[in-house]
Amino acid sequence: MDRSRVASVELQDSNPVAAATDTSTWLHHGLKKRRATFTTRKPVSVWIGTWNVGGAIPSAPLDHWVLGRSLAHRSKSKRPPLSVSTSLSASGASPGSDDSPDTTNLHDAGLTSPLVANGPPRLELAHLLDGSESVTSFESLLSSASSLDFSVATSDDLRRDSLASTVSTVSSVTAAKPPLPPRPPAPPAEILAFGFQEVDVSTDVYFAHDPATILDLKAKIIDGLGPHLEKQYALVSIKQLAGMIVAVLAHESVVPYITEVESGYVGCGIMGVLGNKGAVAIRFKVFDTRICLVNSHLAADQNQAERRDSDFHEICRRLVFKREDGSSCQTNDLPLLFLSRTMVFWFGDLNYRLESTYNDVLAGIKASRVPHLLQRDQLGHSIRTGRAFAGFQEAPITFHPTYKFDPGTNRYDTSEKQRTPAWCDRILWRHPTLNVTPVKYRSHMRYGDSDHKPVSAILTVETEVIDQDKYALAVKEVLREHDKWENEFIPEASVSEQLIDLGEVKVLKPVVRTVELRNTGKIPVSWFFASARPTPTEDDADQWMWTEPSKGYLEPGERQSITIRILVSPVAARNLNHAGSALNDILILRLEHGRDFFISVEGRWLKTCLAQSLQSLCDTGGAVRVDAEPQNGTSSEEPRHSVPQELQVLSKFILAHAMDVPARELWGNNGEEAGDEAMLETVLDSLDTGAPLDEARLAGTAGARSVARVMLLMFEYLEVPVIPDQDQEMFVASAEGSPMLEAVAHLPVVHRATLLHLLELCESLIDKQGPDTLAVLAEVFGPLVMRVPLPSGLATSGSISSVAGLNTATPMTSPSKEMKRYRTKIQARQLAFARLVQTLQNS
Amino acid sequence: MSAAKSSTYDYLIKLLLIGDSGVGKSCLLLRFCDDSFTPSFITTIGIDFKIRTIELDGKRIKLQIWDTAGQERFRTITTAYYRGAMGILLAYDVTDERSFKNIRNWIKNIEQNASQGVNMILVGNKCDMGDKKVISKEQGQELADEFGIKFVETSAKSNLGVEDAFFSLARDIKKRLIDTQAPKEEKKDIDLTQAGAAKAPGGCCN
Repeated sequence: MDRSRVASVELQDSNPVAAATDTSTWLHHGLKKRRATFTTRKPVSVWIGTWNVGGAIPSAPLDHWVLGRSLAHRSKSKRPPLSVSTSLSASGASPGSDDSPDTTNLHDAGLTSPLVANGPPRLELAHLLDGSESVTSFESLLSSASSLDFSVATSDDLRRDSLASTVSTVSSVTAAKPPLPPRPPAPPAEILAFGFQEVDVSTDVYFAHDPATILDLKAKIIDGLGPHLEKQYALVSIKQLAGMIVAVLAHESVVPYITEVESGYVGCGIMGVLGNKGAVAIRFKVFDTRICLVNSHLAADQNQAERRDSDFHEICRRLVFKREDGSSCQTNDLPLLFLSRTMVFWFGDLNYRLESTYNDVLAGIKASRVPHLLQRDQLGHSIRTGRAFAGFQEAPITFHPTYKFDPGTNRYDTSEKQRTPAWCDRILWRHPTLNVTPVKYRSHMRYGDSDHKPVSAILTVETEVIDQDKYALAVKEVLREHDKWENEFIPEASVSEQLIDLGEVKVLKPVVRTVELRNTGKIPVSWFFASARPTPTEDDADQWMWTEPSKGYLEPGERQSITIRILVSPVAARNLNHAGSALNDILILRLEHGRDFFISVEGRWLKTCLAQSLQSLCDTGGAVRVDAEPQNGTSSEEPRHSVPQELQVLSKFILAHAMDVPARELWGNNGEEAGDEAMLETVLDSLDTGAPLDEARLAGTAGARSVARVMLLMFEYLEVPVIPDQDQEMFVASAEGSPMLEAVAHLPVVHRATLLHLLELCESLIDKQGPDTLAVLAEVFGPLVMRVPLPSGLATSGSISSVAGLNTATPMTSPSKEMKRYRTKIQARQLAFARLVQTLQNS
Repeated sequence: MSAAKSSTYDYLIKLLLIGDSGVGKSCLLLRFCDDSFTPSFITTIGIDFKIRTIELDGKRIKLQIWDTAGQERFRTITTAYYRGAMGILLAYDVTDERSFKNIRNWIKNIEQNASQGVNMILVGNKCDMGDKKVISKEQGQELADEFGIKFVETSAKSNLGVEDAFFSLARDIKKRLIDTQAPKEEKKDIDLTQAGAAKAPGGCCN
């Protein structure tokens, strides 16, 4: 026996398929669906034998058990001295036994079934290798002989051998027994599995195996194969648990395809753990199918059927496997017996009995009423009721009970115990999809070594062979299919506008647009606006665009209207005035776990006089939207206007039309009336385009208030306040009169002129409306010409509600220290402004 | 491989398609991921992706391929997405000289905005349009050589070189990021969806 060859088989790399099938469910499922596309089925013949040898390695050669015949070289050796029981002699040997005469069943109906109980062993082999399910006549066998395909074994020797033997057998039948030269035996099957029970019944064996036992048994098996076949088989593995030994041999034709040899055992006898009862198993892959061979010895005694059932479950639960070469066993944590694709063969002395009496059974045997007796078989009952061995199958039994005989005889137990004969020794299998076709299932009555007779089965077992190229293709297909699903279920939507044209955009003039978002995908979508700017904040004074809502959720098919609001505050206008005429931004609308839409927002910015500097307003010399004519030679001189034209227009209007409006009503911020915004726009448009104010439209208090408000806005958002920051303290500290005049003289020329212009307006208003007006004007203009930045956290927001109001109006529930300081500053500026007006009045 | 693995892939690789508007970036994506082609031109307004899982040397790699808007006005915005990419396909149109010349600008953009060591491949698309071709294969190869990157001519329409281009890039990335990793570390992903401007997740692959 060539051990090294078997060892190299075991070291082969694990099949990638095994790894792949352990991955996620979808791949598993996809491949399962496609399994037929990358697998072909290959029949493998398996011989399984089970024998409770009753305490010792049998003395008789095993050839009859394994090969179904005597080996030529010992054809003259004497048969075991069997004394045939008189009670059985009438009916001869049992019908399913190999000891019945060949002719007995040759023309039975049984011959046409695959389970040929008898017949020349070589014929059966040829039949098996042919792969046909039944043999109806020798002629058909002969005619198919030319196409015999030893699909697994590639050995030419073997092919010739099986062919030749077939032909010779046929001729031997037709040609009235001429003396045959001894022919070498044909291999009984590609895989041979031996299950022995009670090889050693000493109690010592629970603690240590006698290594000689396995060696002796191996020698016995080899001897049984004979010198011719011995060379063709390799030992896959042999394992012992106490008295149980399982051995697996493989024919050289399949040896290269056997991988991942693993073994395991479970003891469930004494104390529930010792090996007097239990199972020992070997598992391996043939091609791409895992085969698990379990040799078990279950609880004895007529009344222990339930115990046998529970032994079975115990073994299933506890049987785990270890890779024989010590390499990692992927699935060694699982009770592997019932992995869905594993082909399980379970055999041994299962010890199930017949629910009958000794005499009834003997009578039944005598009458050859095997089917009748089998109705009382405890194992059949357990399978049918699902108590144990659920899903297992067995070939039809045609042989007599294999237990219990008086050792050395074919006589059922004649001792005073008179145990009821039973089919204790069985061979079962289970697989959900692959077919197992029984070819033979029989007992071997000639063996008298034990109180059990050996049983054997020859089975044609379908195995799967995976075509690696086709497998790779199937994997690729599954991946593509999966990707297709995934791509289809990426959130998807459409937006109605990808370019929003705002047209002309002016300061403080709201523009509203809507964009419709529709979920065109197959799954709900969460969306939100992501900003292209690094850190957008709510307080961003430069912001001029808002989206409403800024996030949302849409089910498939749903639509949502998103409002885009544009409002350029004077602060935001400052940047736009510098940037030129384009107003551009890109909104990023993001679908969570999906795409981003870029929505371009474009408009033409119309410059405004708000948020300019006094200097630039004066330099422009006209309206901001009118292109300044180049004024050669005047750039270095004083500007044409030392007070911005816009301010002059506004104060002229007030002097002409608003002198009767009470100051508090004119300048105060006591609620906005409808139409104010439109009038405000009219005023700003006139200023920015250089058109005269529309006096008719602005008639009345509302018009006057609009004009006044624009003036306040101009002062509020000047780039540099009329009295620049660095000069403010001087004004705050200066007393009325000449110190104040000195301070004024200190200002840059444009600022000085503008301040004086404002003071003159105030003077006129006081003249007209009385000295009480001074307090109102100081309150309004003081903090505007001497602007104080708001305490942090109260910075002017870009929203419309605050831009046109007075800073002093900011309500505070609990004024902080900072806020108090701010108020003090405001008051100081109001007082300073009052002193300025008075200084001018008195000068 | 562990038996308990629940994911559909071992690694996630993020690729980015860039190049001038109209060179066929979306068509390349459609061909590679859906194996389809549409002759109608729909400008990509934004950034979109598809996925495809491939096997490289027994590793299952999920490619998430981002298709960007090629239009000039989106240039600044799209560069914000570069950081999250592990590989970039730079596409030009072999019938459009301008798109080829612009490759240099695109590479400049990549150098300024993408992660260090990002893998690139130059792709000359529409190579099926023999009569209209103005950029020769040699010119393409020469430019690729100049920047030390790979080059493939493709036709999304005729399905030429498309698989080659993506696989070649994926293989290079695998070599750079995966094969050099400690074997334990699996599941690297870089989340481009959150790339915006603030996040800089590219670091985890170095």
